[in-house]
Order: sequence, then structure tokens, then C-alpha cells
Amino acid sequence: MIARRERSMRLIATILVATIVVILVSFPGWLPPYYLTTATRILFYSMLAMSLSFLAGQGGMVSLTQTGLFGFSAYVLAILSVHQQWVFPFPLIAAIAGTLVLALLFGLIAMRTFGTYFLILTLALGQMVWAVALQWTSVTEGFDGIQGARPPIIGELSFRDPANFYWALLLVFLLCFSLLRAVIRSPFGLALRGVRDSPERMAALGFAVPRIRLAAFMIAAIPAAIAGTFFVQFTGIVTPVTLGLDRTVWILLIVILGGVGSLGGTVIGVIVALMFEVVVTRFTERYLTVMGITFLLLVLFAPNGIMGAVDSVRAWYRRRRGGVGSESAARTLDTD
Amino acid sequence: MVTEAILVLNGLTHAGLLFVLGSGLTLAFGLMRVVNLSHGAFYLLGGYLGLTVFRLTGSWTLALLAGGLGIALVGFVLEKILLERVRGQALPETLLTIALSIIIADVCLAIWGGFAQSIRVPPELNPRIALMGFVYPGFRLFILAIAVVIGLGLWLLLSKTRIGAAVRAGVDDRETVSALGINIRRIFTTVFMLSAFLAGIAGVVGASFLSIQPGADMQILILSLVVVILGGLGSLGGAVIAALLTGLLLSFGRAYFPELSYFVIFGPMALVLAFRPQGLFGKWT
Repeated sequence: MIARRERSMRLIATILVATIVVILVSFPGWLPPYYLTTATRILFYSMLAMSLSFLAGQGGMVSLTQTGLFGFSAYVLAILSVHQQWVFPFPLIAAIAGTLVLALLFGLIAMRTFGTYFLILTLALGQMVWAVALQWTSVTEGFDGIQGARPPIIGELSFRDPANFYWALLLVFLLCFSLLRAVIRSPFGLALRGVRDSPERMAALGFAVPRIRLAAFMIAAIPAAIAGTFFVQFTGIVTPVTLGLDRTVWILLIVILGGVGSLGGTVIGVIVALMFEVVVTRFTERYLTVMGITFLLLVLFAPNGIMGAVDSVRAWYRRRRGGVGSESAARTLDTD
Repeated sequence: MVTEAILVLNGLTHAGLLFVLGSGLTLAFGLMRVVNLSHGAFYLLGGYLGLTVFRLTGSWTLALLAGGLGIALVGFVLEKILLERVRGQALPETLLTIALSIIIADVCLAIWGGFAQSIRVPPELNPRIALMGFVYPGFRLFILAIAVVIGLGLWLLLSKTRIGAAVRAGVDDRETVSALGINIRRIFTTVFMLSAFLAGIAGVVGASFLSIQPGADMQILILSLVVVILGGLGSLGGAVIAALLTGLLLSFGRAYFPELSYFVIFGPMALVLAFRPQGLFGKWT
């Protein structure tokens, strides 16, 4: 009986996922161009946000360097394809490989620190990438950034066509999503959560704590690096703003909105944040002030994001009806 | 030789500025276990306040006081209405300070605009000093003197006064201190205001010998973070050594690798952290 019910639940879930994927694939067929552009932006920002959400939620590592990795990847691709005239696919390969090497370096430096210390160290490392992008004008063109990176044309297949670009991105997005999901459900994911909750105990049990954290850091770097390459080919420009603190906070905002550690939540977070940006910039030039205040209120009053807020309202309702305390598994923000 | 001597002097000036910034940051961390990531924005706002007061009154001393006291007040208000709500939760508190940093920087942009501006130092504070055949601006030595005075003041405050003793005790064991009847919350507020005061002072000094513009807050925050990470969070002595090291590297880096001077200062930080993750003089928290 229970097995049958479980089987039918799984069937429903599979059908649901398949429907969502079909809808996502069909977008270019019927969505107006502006919304297809928005869908494309949602996908690459979701990949970036997933990277942080995974690290913070599963590994307890609130890394403020993910935007730096994203921007670094975009810069490498732009420099190699625009300035050095490398042909596809070499700039792409170099961008992703180079970003992973940078992530390895940053990871080696940061792995032995925890909590707030980890946060400010990754902030310093991420802002170093920003400072170099701003200062090293002979390579990065400083404040103006590098313009002109474009999607490749392979034989008959042009990724400059928005639909083809979107499909390629969607494919990569689904692969990254599945990769992170598989990691979360694997024994490694379990060990990672163990390290998040109690590094001392995991070390005492014989787990190589720094190595587990480094591996998670490297895994999280993959979607960030790939998202950076799509970003720069889509927008055609990368500037220091791409990897500045404002962008980092924006991504943090998205991750908290969507619920820290929830992969699907990050997509919802990006959608809400982009809509918010469109609405706010229509009324005021002080978008950053409004974003900062929103972030502040979110941290104060809804640290578990949209779903977390729904959960706590539901738990409150259940308590009022005299039910047993809710088993709401909302992840708390404080990880150290 | 002469070039090197001047680079060393410039490095010491930078070190002075970085020490004033880093000492406040590291003190507040040692006590509250929270890094105030709006420290750079405090610096920026302090600089702009000083700039406005200087343009209105023409007095550099008044500008310095306005920057310092104005930011101490800002710090007091923010600590009372926001940060106290999340005290004890390290991550939310740190995230709040990031949000504040973005808001303050954006408000500064709205009020003071996007161009680089600076305070013109009055000649009596900037005597021309002849040095091995070169003329060196005396204001830079004056900055160094300010940093030394502040350093000595902080050291005396921490080691010779009752408040200092309570702060040091609070760094080691907050619960016991408050159980002994000391108002730890008032001490937190005092130290946070002191830290903000130092950031404001640094802002006016920085606006006088460098310049301030949007983005300066982040550049200064990175440098201050490097100083406190390198020196060890919570250590005043560590901040002195790390500020000297960072200031000198910055000065020589600017001369020899003008496009990569920020990059140059991260090298030793990475190296130190590889062997001592807690920084040169840091204790694990």
C-alpha cells in the first residue's frame, strides 16, 4: 500500500518535472522576444545563485566570492575572444578552466576558516578580482569594461539566434541543476551537511573536513563559471560592475528570497528580484537604496525566504488551532 | 635611494591611514564577533561630511571633528535601531552591515555626486619639508603622527582604564562579564561608536591626501579587511604590523606595478593565511 502510494507520488513528480521541462523548451516558440530575453537572464543568474545557495545551504559556507568567479570567467572569455582573437571553443574552455583554477586557489586559502571569518575572507578575495578588473586597464580596459564578445556560429548553427542561445543555456542549466541535486542526495552531500553542522565531530569521525569543503567549493564554482560565459556572450559586455559588491549582495538577496539551500527556490528568487528591479527602476534612480532596504528587511523579518515565511505563517496557524508544533524544516540563516 | 626613501615615507602614510581604519574594525570584531562591513561606507560618508564642513567653514580641524563625530552618531543610531536586534547572530548581523554599506554609498552618490573630490589641506598643516634634496609634503608626516597618537590612545584606553579592562574581559568571556554586573550592551555601543568615529576621522584624512569618490568605500574596505585578516581579528598589535606591511606594499606596488598594486597586497595575505589561518596575532574565536 505504502509502496504503491510512493510509486504513484514518484510518477506524479516525474510528470510534473517533464511538463515544466517541455514548457521551458517551448518558450522560444511562443514567448515575445522581450520575455525570451528575460527568461535567458533568469537562467544564467539562477546558475550563479545556485552556486551560492548550494555552498551556503549545504556546506554552511556563505561565500561572497561567487560573483567574482562569475565575472572572472566572463572577463577571460571577453579578453581572449575580443582582444586575442581566439576562435571558438578555445575562449570558452579557457574561461571555464581558468575560473576553476582560480576557485581552487581561493578554496585552498579559505578552507580552514569558518563562519564570519570565511565570509569576510571570501569577500576580500572576490573584491580583489573586482579591484584588479578596475585597475589593470591595459588588459581589462578598466571602468569601461570589454565590449564585443558574441555567441559562436558553428557551421549552420548560429547561437546568435536568441532561440538557439536560449536552448543551449537551458540545456546547460538543467545539467548543472541535476548535478547539484545529485551531489546533495549523494553520500558526499550527507557528509557535507555533517561538516556544516559540526566540523569537529566529522573530523573526529575520520572525515577529511577541509577536503570535503574544498570539493564542495569546486563543485559550486562550475555553474558560476559557466554562467559567466553565457552572461558575457549574451550581453556582449563585461565591466567591473559585473563583479562588484552590489551584484554580490543582489545574489545574496536572491538566495535568501528563495530559501538558502533550495535549488528551485533560487529560480523563484531570481524571477522576483528581476521583476522588482524593473518596477523599482521605473519609479526611482535610487534602486540600490531600495534594494539595500529590502535586503535589510528580509534579513530582519524573513531570513528563511519566501517559502520560509509561508512555512512560519502555516506553523503559526497550526499552533493557533492547537495542533502539535510544526516540524517545519526551514533552514536557519545562521550557519556558524 | 631617494626614490626608495620617499616610497617608504608614502608607505608609512598609507599605513597610518590603514591603521586608523583597521584598529576600529578589529576592536569591534574582538568584542562583538561581528565584522562591520559598512566600515568602508562610514569612511566615505565621513569624508564627505568633512568635505562639506570644510567648504562651509574653511577649517580643517572642524572638518575632522565633523567627520569623526558625525559618523560616531550615525554608528550609534544604526547600532541602536538595527544591529542590537540581531546581536549574537553573527551572520544576519554581518549581512545587515553589508546592506547598510550599499544604502550609505548610494545616498552619498545622490548627495555628493559621482566625481572625485578632495579637501585642500591648509598650508599650515602642510609645510614643505626639504628631504635629501626633495620637497616632501609635511601633511603626510602629520597623518603618521595622527595614527601614532590614536594608536597610543587606544592602547592606553585598553590597558589602563576601567572601560578598557571591561572591553578586554568582554573579548575573552562575554557571559561572565555581564554576570559580574557590567553593562555589556553599553560597552558594545561604546566600542562600536569608537570604531565608527575612527572610520569618520580616516575618511576626512583620506579625502585630504587621496580623494573620495563612489567606489572609494569598497577600495578602503578591502584594504581594511586585509589589515585585520592579516593581523588577526581582534588584535591591536596585529593591526599595527599588518597596516605597516600593507601600506609599504601598496606604496611600492603603486610605483613598480601601477596597474596591479591591489593584487600585490593580496600575495602576503594569502601566504600568511596558508600557514596561519587565524592571522599573524589572531586567536581562534
